Amino acid sequence: MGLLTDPRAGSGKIIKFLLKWERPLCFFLYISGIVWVLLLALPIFNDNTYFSENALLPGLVTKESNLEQITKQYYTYLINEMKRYPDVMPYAWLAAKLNQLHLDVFTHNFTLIYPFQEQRFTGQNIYGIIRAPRAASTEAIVVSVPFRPIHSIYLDTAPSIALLLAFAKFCRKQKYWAKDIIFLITEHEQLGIQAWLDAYHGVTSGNGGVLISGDLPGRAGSIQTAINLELHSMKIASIDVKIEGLNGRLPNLDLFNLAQNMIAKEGIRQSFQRRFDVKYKNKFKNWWYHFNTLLMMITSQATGIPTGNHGLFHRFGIEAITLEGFEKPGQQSSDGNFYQVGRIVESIVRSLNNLLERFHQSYFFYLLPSTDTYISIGLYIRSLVLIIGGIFVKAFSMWQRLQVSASTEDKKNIVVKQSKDDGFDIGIITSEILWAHICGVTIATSPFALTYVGKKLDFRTEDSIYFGFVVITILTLIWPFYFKRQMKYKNAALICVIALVELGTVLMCIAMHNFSLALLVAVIYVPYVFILPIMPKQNFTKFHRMLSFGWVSLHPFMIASLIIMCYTYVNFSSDSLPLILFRGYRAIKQAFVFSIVDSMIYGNWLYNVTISTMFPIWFLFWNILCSNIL
Amino acid sequence: MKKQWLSNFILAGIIRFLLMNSEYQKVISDRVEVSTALNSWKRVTEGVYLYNCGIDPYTGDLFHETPIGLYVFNFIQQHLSQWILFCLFVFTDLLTAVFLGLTAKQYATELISKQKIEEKLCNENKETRNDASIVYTSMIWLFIASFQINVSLLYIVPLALRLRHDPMLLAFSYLAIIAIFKSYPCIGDVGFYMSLLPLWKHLFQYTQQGFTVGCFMLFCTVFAPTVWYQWIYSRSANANFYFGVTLAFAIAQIFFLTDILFASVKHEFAVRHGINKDISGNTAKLLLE
Repeated sequence: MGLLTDPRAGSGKIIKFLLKWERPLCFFLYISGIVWVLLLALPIFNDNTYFSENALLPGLVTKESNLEQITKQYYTYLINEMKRYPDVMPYAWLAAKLNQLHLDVFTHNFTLIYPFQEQRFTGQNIYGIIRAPRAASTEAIVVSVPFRPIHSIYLDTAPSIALLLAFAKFCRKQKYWAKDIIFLITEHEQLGIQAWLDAYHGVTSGNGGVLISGDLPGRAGSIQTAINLELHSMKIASIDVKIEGLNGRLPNLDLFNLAQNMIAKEGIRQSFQRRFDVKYKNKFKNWWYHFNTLLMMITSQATGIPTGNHGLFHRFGIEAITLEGFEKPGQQSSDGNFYQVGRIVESIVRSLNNLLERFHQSYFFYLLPSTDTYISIGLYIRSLVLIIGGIFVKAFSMWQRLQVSASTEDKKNIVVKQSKDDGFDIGIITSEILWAHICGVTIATSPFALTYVGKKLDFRTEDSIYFGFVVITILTLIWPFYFKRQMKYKNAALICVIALVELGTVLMCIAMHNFSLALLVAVIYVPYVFILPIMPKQNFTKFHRMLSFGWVSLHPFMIASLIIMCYTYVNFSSDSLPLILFRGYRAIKQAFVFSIVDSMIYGNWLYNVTISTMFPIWFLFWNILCSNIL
Repeated sequence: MKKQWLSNFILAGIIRFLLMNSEYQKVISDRVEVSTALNSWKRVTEGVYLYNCGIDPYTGDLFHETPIGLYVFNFIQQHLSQWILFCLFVFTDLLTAVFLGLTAKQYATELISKQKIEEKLCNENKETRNDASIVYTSMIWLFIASFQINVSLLYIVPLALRLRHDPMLLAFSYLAIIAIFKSYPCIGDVGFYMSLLPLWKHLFQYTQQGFTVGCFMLFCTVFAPTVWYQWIYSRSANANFYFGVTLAFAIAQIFFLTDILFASVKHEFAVRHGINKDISGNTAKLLLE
């Protein structure tokens, strides 16, 4: 009750403390948040992974498969077939092979109408279903492989198709399946799997009329889990387990553990983020190695782009991972080891077959610093809560200061007022906030208009979007200077308080979906927000002017461009500077188009959310920094 | 004044009508915050349909309106076209707004006249100040007791006793309590008493929790749909996340209501004893102890 009725709540010691130590406290919270992230990679801060779902019974069955020879046979045939048709998927051959195994075989056609250009692309997926002999086709497991033609820029997946066929042949003879198994070979990378999943569930995940998935001629039960295979060679030296899905969603930790354990059991090296588990004796080295793995996961999750075909299953509540197999560099792929690889797939699928319920026991929110340790949400969320706590402390102390200044002003006016006029101009404040958000939504939906105008001027899509964004950025940067506006300090401060609270709320909401993105945004934006000079113009020093000018670089488009430039520089640091700049410029153009197209095809919300929330917040601060505060 | 009212009403009516016919209608009507088991129009149409088919709509777990309501809705569905139905919705909403507005106006004039009388009385007998503060303290204890006992029925009597001179505030606090403790609460319940908030503008200077409550409410309103999405669609979070947010929202409402009620006590005290915020040039703060 004290919390509610404490009469000194408005002027208590805590508030005095907050007001006195506001800035150091904010930075203390920020830095402790960062330190917490750094500590997360320490082995004492991680728990060893364990199986939470009892029904999985991992590795308890007697494995019976020996797929080495059959896989090799299929592989030779497939390579011949692929050489005959170097640019397309050998539909007929694949369908015939699956038919020979007496599976229910279907093909699925889909069309992509490429946004902004009205070009049509078509593709085909082939899938065969083994009906469960022991159940009524109510549940299913998917084993999928993306088909890649010989001239594809990506690494070859033909060995995994051979393995899929061999495994299908093996599964056909077994009597113990309690779930249907769908063997799926998709075309055009993620487009194929997205179209297939949309068709399977009868929905459209992206914008309507972009990816036309049609209907499926045959279905199995509701899909529980999916394993995607990308084996690049007939001699697999190591297998990488990929988990990051669309919009940063992760599969249940149990599935990841299952895969890692089965790989280890068959004696193949397992890795995460293409990094093996290395134990250094030096504690610092050990931490640094784990921290880098963690950082790679965070950056890859933050983009919201799936790292493999598994990433599109997550949206439908289907747990999925990709097993990517690599050969040892410089090794001849003469004698294979698909005996082991086949057994890995067999044991995973048989464990999944044991499941009584969907995966729900273990964590959905976690970070991984290595293949056998994890950091749960309860641990990692604290870092972000500390950082966001700083934002709220800042907002609260600004608000308290406003209250105090209001009452001192009253003191000056000796006229006794019955009811205090709080001095905020609600009209100005709401219109300011409303307009900033309207701008955000307009920019988020602007690509259509931009490409329309660009087409009239004979621009390519990339160019029209990029230059459109450049124009928008320049306009948003200069318009406060053009309309030299005056604002009372009180109103400006209240707008800041609201923007701060909004920033904190938005970051927390993003964190629930994509922690990594929220963390990176918080790390970049929050310290700058703490030092922004919100004060009457006459007190401005040169330093303050520089600070407010620096806010320009945090414009969402600017910061995206900067990050991509840095990334290009890191990757091509040996090139000359103009070449790096040119590469970066092209990468920026493509990144903008891809993020927009991804949002339309797959429903990736990175672009929409950043523009419709981060932009208004940035814009509110920018307006205040540029207006003449009295 | 009347012109402004009229233009505001027309604007509100148009927005309501457009929303009802827009593509967002389905999205809004499917939101759990807006449409609950108690107020969903879909369920009403379903219940009426079952009733017309000769199936008892109450056997299932679908229809929760009263039997009289069922007859009325049946009549409405049979005799009114879709457009008239839409207009009826808009009309009832506007009617609510008119009543709320008139009530607020009436209350404001009453409040001012009452305050003037009280001030006059206070200036006449300043000597009784000490006695008054004792009574005032005992009232506060009653007040605290009424909040300690956590059964909503027990709120009604103490509040009614305490606020017998201010029925408007009593009604407001009842509405808030209903919104907090109701099963199947919806955003409309919260919105209803929030719309009465301007009535208490004279109390704002005595409130203490404005910032906390505001932050809490904003945070919860944005956070709730995200965890709901994760629970229902992506199956990664479970019901407890959403449940936690609704609890936090209810707590924010309790803070808010308590704050308003305490502020009213302070205001009453201030008016009765002629205390202004400024005492001989220094700002005074009213403490309840």
